[in-house]
Amino acid sequence: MTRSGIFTFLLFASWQNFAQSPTIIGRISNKSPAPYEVSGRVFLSSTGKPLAGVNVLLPNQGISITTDENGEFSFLFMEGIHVIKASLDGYETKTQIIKVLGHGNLNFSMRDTRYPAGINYKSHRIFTIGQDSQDSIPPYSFFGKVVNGDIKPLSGVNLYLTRQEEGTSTDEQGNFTLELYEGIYLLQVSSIGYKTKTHVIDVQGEGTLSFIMREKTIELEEVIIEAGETQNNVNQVAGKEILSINSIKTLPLLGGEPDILKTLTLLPGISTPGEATGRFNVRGGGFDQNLILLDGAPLYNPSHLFGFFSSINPNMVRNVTLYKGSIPAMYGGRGSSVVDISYKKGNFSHWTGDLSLGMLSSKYTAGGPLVSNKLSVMTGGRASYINWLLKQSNDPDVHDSRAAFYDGNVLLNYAINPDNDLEYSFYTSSDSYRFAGDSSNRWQNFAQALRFTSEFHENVTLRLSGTRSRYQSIIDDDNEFTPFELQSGVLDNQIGLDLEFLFGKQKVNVGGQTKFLSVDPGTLDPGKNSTIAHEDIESEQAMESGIYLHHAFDLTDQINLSYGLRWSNFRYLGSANVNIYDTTLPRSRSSIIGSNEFNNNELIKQYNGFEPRVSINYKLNYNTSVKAGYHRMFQYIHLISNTVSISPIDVWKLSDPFIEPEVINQYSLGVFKTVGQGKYDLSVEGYYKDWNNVVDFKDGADLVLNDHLETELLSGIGKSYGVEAYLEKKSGPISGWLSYTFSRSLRKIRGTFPQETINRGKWYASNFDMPHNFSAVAKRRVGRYGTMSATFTYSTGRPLTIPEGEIVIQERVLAFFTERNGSRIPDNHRLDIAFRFRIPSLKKAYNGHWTFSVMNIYGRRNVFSAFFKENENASTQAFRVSVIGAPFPSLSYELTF
Amino acid sequence: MEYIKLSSCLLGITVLLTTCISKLDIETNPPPRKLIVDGFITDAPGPHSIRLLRLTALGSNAPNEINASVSITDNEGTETVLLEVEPGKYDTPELFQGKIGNSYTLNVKTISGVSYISTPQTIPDGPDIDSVIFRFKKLPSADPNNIRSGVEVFSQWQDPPEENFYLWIKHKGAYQIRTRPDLAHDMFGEPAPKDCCAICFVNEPVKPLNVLSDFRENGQTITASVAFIEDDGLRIKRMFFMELNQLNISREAFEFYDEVSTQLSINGSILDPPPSTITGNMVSTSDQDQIAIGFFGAFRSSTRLIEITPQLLEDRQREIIIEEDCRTVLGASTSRPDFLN
Repeated sequence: MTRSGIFTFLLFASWQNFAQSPTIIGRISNKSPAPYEVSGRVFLSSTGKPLAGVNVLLPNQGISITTDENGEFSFLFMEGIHVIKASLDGYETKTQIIKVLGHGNLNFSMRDTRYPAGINYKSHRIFTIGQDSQDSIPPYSFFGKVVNGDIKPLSGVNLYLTRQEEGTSTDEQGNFTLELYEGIYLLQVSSIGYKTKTHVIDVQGEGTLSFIMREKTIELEEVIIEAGETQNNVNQVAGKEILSINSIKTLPLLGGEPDILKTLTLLPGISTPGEATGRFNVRGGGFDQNLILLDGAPLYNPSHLFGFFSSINPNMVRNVTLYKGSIPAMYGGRGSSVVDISYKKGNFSHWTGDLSLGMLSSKYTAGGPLVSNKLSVMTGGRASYINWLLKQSNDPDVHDSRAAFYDGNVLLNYAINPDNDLEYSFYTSSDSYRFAGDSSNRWQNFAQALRFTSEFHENVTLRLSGTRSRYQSIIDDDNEFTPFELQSGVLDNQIGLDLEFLFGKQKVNVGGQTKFLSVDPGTLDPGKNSTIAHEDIESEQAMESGIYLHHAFDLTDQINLSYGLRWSNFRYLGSANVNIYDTTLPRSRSSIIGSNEFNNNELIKQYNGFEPRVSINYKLNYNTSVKAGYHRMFQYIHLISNTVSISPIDVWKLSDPFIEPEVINQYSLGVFKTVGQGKYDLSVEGYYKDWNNVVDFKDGADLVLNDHLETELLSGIGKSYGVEAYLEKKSGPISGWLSYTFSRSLRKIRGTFPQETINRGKWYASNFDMPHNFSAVAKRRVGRYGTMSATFTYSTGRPLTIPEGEIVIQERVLAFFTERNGSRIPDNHRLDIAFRFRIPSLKKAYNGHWTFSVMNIYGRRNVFSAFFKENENASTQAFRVSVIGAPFPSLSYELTF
Repeated sequence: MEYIKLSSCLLGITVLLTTCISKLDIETNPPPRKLIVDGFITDAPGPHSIRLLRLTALGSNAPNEINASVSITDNEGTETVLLEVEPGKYDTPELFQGKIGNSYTLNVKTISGVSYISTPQTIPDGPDIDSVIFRFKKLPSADPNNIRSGVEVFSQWQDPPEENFYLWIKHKGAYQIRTRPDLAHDMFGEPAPKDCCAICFVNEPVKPLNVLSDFRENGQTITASVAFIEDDGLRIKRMFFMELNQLNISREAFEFYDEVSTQLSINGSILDPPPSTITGNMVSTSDQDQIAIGFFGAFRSSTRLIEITPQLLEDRQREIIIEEDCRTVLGASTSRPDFLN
């Protein structure tokens, strides 16, 4: 040993002597000849489990040894004072001074440095999540449920990660989701009337953890821990998909914006007609056949910027549930799907939030208690800065154009007492854009929901709700001679009552909704000094009601049955002038021979019908089930649109004496399997759907300010069918899913007259008939804090009406069309990648997530639309429009606080 | 491959999303030989022309329908035969002149023996243009040193409130240019003065299908934009002449030409309307499977000549001096346009 080493050792030894007394090993009375064997064990202080691989070092002898799988080691010592040091990455290093007098034992307890100091772990049970799925990709989805002593779900329970100062709360079904990285978390679970308790959670992978909260003074205890089984493919109801918002965030983003609705299109049976449209189609249905509920309130236009982005702030969303088949009887009014989006709730005891900065917009959410343990709030907002970007352009067409959007949310949650809960949510979104030198266009959504939930009996939950949703579209033109403002919109007021009875494993829902609908087809207001006359197309009024019963239970151990019946009623009300047409002529403006006048609220036309719903799940064994489903839906409101994207001139139209409600029947049958100890979900499902009274429009339909819109619309039948295959790998170095759908969506419109017939009354492809649809989503963990993901999509090109030839009218050459949707645009495919990562930092401001993504990485020019135009040679040429015609990178930063 | 920025229809998002338009190859079957009828008569003196063509494949010239028998009958039983003055172009006699309130029917019998007939078209009455308004206008530009400008022309008339009227405003323009043939150079850049010509008239081909209705402005003083004459340093240097031809058309004609105009406006915007089948008012009387496309119209016509002077320009573009024979300018000739005579 060198002199400096000796000095160091003496200094160290003297300090150690001063700081602690040496541990005596061996007894003098049993003294035997040296050397003496000192053996020992190293274990984890929190659990007592042995620690293998620990480096045990004798610094002054320069000897080291590694503990074996039992955490054991042994050394031979001469009599005297020795220093022994145990170290292992990720654990607190332990140094001990021993005085060896003879043979003996020495044990070390080492603290996992992930475990925060200052906690008495012996008083906590440590719950390990995902112990056997350590190779799955973080952040791990940590699902759970909180129930009371009667196994009834508890809503509004706060789950708060005390060290991270973030959290969530349970929804109406008592469910919660957290996305966590590996590590030790202190999870505080609290709710009014229940004792708050903090739990130590050791997250190693995905898993579930559920709690029972004993009422009043009864302590909280945990009952279920299931690692790796997050969504049970086998047990879940047919046609239901649940997406967690954090899984959406790991996917490639357009402009750095996670998009809920676009992510849905990666699932089987769901397609989108183009890259820049907010529209999506479920099992061959039109966009208007999707009921999009935001905290229970319907959204009529869920898009920003024509559909480049959805208008729902993803950071406000807890999860998204999509029903594409076997739609429960509680839902009605739309024919193809229900997208039920639920908000996050504000925490009752702590403030939490997040901030996201993207290339085109930024957003935030913040939530916490207004009155501790009584009233919480959650707010969110998002605003774009595209206008600023536009102004940087030198192209005058771009420089003088405008585009902006924002949206905002507020959710108030008032816990009246442990049994009664009141919730109010408000949502608004606004878009405005203007092409240079053209009219400006705006649209706005307002949605409010008030819900009272009462568990007035141990087996009965009452939910009373009222929603108000308003959609408004405005076109402003400020030209010199004919300035005007054109407004149209929909107002949807609804009240609903739901009683839920729980008898053991049986659940019965009984209730009803009544909806008051008012559609403003258009009001034209002249501007100052305008020569345009004021024009107000009569608003449409209707009352749509539905009552239902839904019963879900286990018929046998193998068969789960869920069935329901809904009866819906639609009353088309005055005031209105209803045209009378000459039935010997095609319906047109010139065939109007009179009209009937109806007073305010006078019944004009009534439709009603029964809507049975059935879903059966037959478990062949623990891993395999066969599911079958049927539903019938009535749809009384229709989106009349003749553009690919959501546009401000779209018109919503109620069923009336001329346009009967769409009636949709869907049948589905599928096999669902989980293999590889829950690592893989596999399913194959087929469906057949038929429509009555499907609405399409005539060639050249004039939809704006048309007080006889029925003359522009046609009614017929439709059918769609398909097979969906789905394979999901839920854990492992690479996780993700493959989805393939073969489907057709066809229509047939054969009217009395040729003018009311499309394609000579033959079946033709609907605008969203895309037979082959494939998507692949893969995620891979990169290092400890990063996730790489890639999304590949392929679909057959959507139908295209191609010309039969070209004609010349007044020296202008134009295409001549006959067969609607007789051809197709080329197939679409695209690869997007994203890298989401975090750079660990002690400073919270730098500890957020970065997401870098590149859309369309190989620069595929997918055809968004095709058109035919006169070219410089005075003949007609086909052109294609590609929206994302080159690789498009984006970067966003998200910080949680 | 041709790439055109879609900035006018997809906002500046296109800058970010690199949107592009490119040619698309689409295969179509050989089209059936459908007849195309295009033309109208007015209450102005003839001749009035009807063009007969055949539907053709994309990118090829429409073949003329020759040797057809074409006539117009009116509600008074008078039949007027049209003569084929050039392949596919059939003219009425010069003396033929429609009468307001009379209805006319076009009859076509092709050389193959198929007969077609139009629905009767009544020449409607309607208001005349009361006045023409000029507005100097600058086009949007991000470059303050390069701002395009010109004169926007509006027509104004008092619309009768009793019923709806439909208009088709056609216009053609011409202007005089003066060049410097005496300063011309040869291909090697050597001075090569020319004796002729220094003064020409340039005819501007204009093809806008500008149909209007008073549907939203019934009974009002209606002002409608007719044309924008951009000052390119030549056009409004001296005088720009414009003949405004106002046609009062029927609702049926308005709907036809409006649909044609809508289809012509499709440019790849996400808000484009879908393609539609253009039909018209011609039907076959001999064979129901033989479909004719197009419209035969009978319109009231009134014409006004207007002059756009340099005094209307608040800012003038720099004059372009052409050191060449003026006839080398596209559309130029030394002849004075017919409508100025």
